[in-house]
Amino acid sequence: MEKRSRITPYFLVILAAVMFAANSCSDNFYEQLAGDRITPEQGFQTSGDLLRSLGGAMLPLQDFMPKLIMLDGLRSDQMDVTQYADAYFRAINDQSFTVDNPFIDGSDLYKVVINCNEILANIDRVAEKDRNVDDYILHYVKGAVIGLRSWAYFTIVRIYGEAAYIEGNMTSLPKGDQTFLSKDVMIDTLINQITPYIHDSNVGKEYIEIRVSGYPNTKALLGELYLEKNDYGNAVTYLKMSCESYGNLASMLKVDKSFIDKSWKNIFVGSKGILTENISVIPFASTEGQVNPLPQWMLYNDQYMVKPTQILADNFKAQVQLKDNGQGTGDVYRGLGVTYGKSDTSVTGEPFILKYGIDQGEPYSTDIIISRAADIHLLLAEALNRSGESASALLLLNAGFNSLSPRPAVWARWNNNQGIRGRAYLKPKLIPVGYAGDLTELVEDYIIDERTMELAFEGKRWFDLVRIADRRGKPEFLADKVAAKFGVPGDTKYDAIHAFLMNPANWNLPIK
Amino acid sequence: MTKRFSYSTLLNLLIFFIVCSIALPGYGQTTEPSVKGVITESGTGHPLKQVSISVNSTGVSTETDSLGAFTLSVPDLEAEIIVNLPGYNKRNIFLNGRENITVSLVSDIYWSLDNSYNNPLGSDVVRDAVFPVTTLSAADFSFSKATSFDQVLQGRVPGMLSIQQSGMPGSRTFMNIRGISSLYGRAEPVLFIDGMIHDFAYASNSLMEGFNLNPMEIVDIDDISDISVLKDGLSYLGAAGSNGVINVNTEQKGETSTVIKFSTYGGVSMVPKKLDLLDPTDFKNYFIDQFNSRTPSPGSFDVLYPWFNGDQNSAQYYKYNNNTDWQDEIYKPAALQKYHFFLKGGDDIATYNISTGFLSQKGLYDNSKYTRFNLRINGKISITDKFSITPNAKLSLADSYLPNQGYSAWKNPILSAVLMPPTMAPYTRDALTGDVLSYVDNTGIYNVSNPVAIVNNAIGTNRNYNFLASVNAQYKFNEHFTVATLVGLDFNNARENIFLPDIGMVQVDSASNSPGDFVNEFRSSQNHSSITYTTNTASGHSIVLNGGFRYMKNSYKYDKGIDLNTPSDDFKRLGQGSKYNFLRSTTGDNRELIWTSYFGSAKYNFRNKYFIDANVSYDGNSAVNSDNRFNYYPSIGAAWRASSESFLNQASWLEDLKFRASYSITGNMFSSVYDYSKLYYVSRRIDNLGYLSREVIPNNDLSLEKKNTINGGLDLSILKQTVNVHLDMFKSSVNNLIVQQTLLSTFGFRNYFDNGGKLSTTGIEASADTRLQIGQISWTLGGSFSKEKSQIEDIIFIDANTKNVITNIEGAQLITSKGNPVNAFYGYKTNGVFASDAEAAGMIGPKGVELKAGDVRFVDLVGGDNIINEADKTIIGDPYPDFFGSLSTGLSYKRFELSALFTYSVGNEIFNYVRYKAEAMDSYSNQSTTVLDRWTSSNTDGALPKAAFGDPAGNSVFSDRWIEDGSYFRLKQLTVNYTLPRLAGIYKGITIYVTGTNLLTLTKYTGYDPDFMYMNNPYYMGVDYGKIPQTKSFILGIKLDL
Repeated sequence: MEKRSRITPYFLVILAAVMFAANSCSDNFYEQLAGDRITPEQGFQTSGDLLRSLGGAMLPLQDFMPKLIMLDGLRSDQMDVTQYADAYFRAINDQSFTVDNPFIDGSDLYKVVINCNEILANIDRVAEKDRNVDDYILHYVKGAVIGLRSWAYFTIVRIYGEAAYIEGNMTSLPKGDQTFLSKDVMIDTLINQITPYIHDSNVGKEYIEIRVSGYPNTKALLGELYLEKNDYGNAVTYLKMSCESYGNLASMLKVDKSFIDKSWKNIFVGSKGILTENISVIPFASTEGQVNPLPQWMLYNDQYMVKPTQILADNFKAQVQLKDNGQGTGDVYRGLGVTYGKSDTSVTGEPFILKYGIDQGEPYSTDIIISRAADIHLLLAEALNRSGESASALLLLNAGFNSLSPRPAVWARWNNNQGIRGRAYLKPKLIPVGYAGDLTELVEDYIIDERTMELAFEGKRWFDLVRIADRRGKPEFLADKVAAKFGVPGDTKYDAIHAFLMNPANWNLPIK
Repeated sequence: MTKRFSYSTLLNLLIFFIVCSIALPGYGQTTEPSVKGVITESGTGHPLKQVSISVNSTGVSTETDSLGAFTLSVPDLEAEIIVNLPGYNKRNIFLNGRENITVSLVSDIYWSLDNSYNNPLGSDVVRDAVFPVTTLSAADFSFSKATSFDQVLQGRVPGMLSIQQSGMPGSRTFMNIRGISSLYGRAEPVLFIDGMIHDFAYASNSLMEGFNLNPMEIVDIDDISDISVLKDGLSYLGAAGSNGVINVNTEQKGETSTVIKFSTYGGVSMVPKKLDLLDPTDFKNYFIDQFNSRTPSPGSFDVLYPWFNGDQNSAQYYKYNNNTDWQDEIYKPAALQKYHFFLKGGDDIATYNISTGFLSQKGLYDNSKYTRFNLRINGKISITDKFSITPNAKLSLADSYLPNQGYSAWKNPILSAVLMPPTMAPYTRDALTGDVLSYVDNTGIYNVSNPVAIVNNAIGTNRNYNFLASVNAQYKFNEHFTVATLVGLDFNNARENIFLPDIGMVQVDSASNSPGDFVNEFRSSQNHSSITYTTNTASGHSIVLNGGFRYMKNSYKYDKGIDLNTPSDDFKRLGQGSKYNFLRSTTGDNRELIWTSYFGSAKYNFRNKYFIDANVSYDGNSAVNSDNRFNYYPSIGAAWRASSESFLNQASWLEDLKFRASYSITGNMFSSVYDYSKLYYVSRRIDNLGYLSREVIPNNDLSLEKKNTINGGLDLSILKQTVNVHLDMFKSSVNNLIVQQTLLSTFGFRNYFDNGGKLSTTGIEASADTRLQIGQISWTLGGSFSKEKSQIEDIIFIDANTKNVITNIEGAQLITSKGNPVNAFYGYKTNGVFASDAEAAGMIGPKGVELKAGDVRFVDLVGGDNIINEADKTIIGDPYPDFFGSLSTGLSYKRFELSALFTYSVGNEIFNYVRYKAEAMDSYSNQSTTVLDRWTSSNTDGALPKAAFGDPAGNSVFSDRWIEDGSYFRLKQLTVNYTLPRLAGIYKGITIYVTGTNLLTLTKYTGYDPDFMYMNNPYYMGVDYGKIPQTKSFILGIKLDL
């Protein structure tokens, strides 16, 4: 055959060489990402990435907060199961915790911890790359991250009694056993970690604590940690600092007239936008199909697996309105029709939990509040009361400070506010004339009772019961209240639950 | 050229060394001997005249006389002679000391040991294969109605399980060679089409449940010349070789003259055999039972359903009092047709092949259809004697119209047709007169979609564009060295469009109607380059060395959008949905994979008597971490042709006897589970801000799953190739099987993957065929048998509380545990029904409720505590067959030919989800006639439990009640064809044929069809969610060769 072309074999050799060269031309040749994911190197570049990661660190709480609220309500005296409840809710209600129950899985909180550690491990690298991230920003972001991580740990130890301490960044599965810290040791550890990031507004330049949805108020958290270990003086200092001088926006959280009487329920409508009341909120983005499961479980026209206890309903009913001149209509601004509802107006109407159904604009995407002003004010009242300032505590509980109110000596500066009961137009709770019992415990009882109504179904009740029962060394403080859900002493179930709860070791959930 | 010279010198030295050590007996011969022999035709024994006989080394040749005899002088009695006669398979024969030989030649219309097979490195003769291989030729599937080649492999390849997903035309086939080799990785083989890797596993996403698009449709079945299935020894494919290879070659021009071919067929698929369902009377009785089982009672029956007792004046009388056979309503016989045109031409410089095909097959219900257009162009350009270029391009455009075929009964017409009560009507009836109106009826009180509404008004379209092109350049330096490189692109784009209407369909999650769009894009660019050295010495040493590299970059991307609640069913496009954004969803993904592999292979044989093949590759891919990225994969195989030894080579009955043994290591890089080896962040959006968070604890040590296989086999051919037997036994094991671990919650991320398991598969596979010729009648019989068993040898769990891996799929649970098969069905055992409360006393059922009369008697396996709970679950079935294969037979007489293929599968178990839906008796849906024997207070020995709304006792939980034996024996295909004699100048050949498919099925399975696969995903093996069954069909076709 005649030769028709001058193409030589070298052409092929060159082609092959080019292909070979392609294989080794770049270090990143094999670094192909599988899907929509990014590496830590891509993730931590700018201050914007830091904010995105901070938001990301609290994302596991979208899964966790509904679980916490159900655990809290069913273990305490706030929620009961209906006939539609599934086996898991029934078991929690009966104080029975098998490891297959998904509601006792605490991994979401550890995810928060691991994500926070991830940010702390990379934050200095961002500062090197982004000149906008100066020492000031670096400091407050670290403070916010440590605050969030501390809140997660604090919640873990209050649920499980101990926590696996994760030191540093978990980039691979740790070999060997994890280190578990007890509740007391963990609280001390957290206090030591948070304290360097707390600043008093009166001292020069104030660090703004990040208050975008999700992040706990670090000062309030520190106060709460002190309260948990019965260090009342420090508790008052930090709780007051958190609501009286909130960063540069001094006295923003003052329980003012924003949510007075029938506006009270608006706290739960578009919660993440309400900066004067809500400090930490877990948002559910309706536009992204993120569904808050609580309305499904609670609403009467949905699955209706749980309902409010009669005890709670009775508590609301027992309140006396100031407006109606004490005509005994109950807590109309917070109780029936707001916190809970009834399937119909008849006597036999079935009660159901309404709090997560108030926000009609975003069906099934109601935000969940972690911490808000009323919560902190009542904790502050509790700490003041234990510091010997019962009168100031009652002011916060009832009508609030006004210009004429007497101030406690140590913490002389106070902003005026409406008070928790004042905001709901309720008759104040005062010490009965000639009361001979323990005044401190009486006021404390008032405060805890107020918390069960003001903060119903917000995941606070069980922790309150444990804290007070521990403080007083009286497990019956908790056992009596919870067992009351099952009848009266002498009833088989009441007795069984009561006996179980008299052992504080049973207050901790098993680690799954 | 100095370098090349030294290279070949080195090789020659090596060969010389081997020659000295093995071939010494050949020395010292001085006088030229001669060899005598007779050549006959295999099968008939007729002598063959004018057969060319030549000596390979000297070129001396002769021809046979009219008695088939010849005499030829040879340099020595170890020489290799070549026997060749056009129309017969050419043979190369070593004398091995013989002075007299008899050789039988097999007509090239039959499969023979002398056929060649193709592999990714080149081609070779089947007779000399060291590793197990099976070949198929065009004749094996030329009369089939199959829409792509994967559908015709069932039973024909020993060791390969092939299950067509459904009877929907165009549906693809699940293919698995020698068992499961990974829990999360790919189970299907690598497909080569004309030298290009054509990935067909990526396309698993779809908007339609139970639908996978079929990338195999890129090649028209009529364009295929041969298919080779390689089961072992694939180490030259390294990390891609674990699941075997299917090598498809399309037809190239062989003839010198121009060839024009045209073929077409038309036919029909028949409706399936119907399931026995309740008639209106029985259904009404059932309905009352069901109503009465509800507590608290929903109200007074007569008030709720006034039309029920025949009150014609009640408003809904006509809506709820009908007698409809829903299976008759939706199933319709379907028309099938295909056209294919083929042109080959060119000269000795350039040749071309052009073929086009058009295919249109309807599905078994209205508006289901598959149409496809194929175009193929290839050729060969010989630029010089040494340099040639082979371009190759294929294009396919396929449209599928079909609704969902998944477990969601409300959108699967097959399930809806089973569950919709017969008292309903497909079309609305006038409330006053009862006249049938022209529009479909809405759902009514039964909460079942109107099947006619689904088939008429729901839209499910997949439009698939596939393009595969490559160019292969080859330069032959000399008789020893050849360099070749192939560059190619594989591109696939699929667009899906769905619409689920409001009218007639059940509302789910506040959605009335829903449009959706899906775009899927796959792109693979590849380069395969290699250099080959071949040498054959006069003393009988043959060496082929091959080395080179492969490069492949795949990217896969999809975008999916779903909208809800358009203003009316007339608005069917995205963007017409509700103003509430949260009802819309858009998702997508984008992945890439890079693979580079350096490989080398050496094939050596001595006088076709002793064979050694070794190959190795060193490759890296982007799937795993850099520490574990590069791996070596070696394999070695040896074969010994015992029939060439002097003690056997005189035996006239023995044609060939060869023993084979091999060991190989291969890898499986195709798995997204390797994502867990890297630390990464994912994003979730809240308030228009994307938040980043970690989702895993990475396992930096996660390494590529590697499979080791030991194979032993023999090939036997006796009686002049009229009886051939191939037998292989193997054991493969994956010692670093990736297992999903469940970590303690204190690690935050509970899912973790590590190489913590060991999986082994043992198997035996055999095939045999025989031919008998008596006069003008020729009869063939063949068959295959495969038995393989995969089992978990070991799993090590990090968390001491974890004992096994449980996977939940819709309606069922699967278990993977030590000592057991992979993904076995896991549930309760049952033992009938409690006849009375007394019998059931004290038993707590699986839902924690006390069991009563009429509830299922679950077996309390563990504890004897009369409590049925998780602990009482056990393995209740294995979806993999104990053995499977085929039988084939053919008979030809003059110009008539009849051929039949039977396939069988024995011991595979099926979860009959359709029957579960039709026997659960937990709702107002229609049920199977078997529920007539349910427990009632007057039928206390009923075989089935009582009707109970919502199934409070848990009678219908996943249990052995729903597991059935799926064994079957099926007449898969029967063809009769007649070839007209050639009419010179008008046509070269015309063949007319009739083919029947699935004409007879023997099975105990009670569903529509025991032969189906839900998805190409081993987790769904044997789970019958109600796919379109494979039914009887007939085609009449004609093939013209002009």
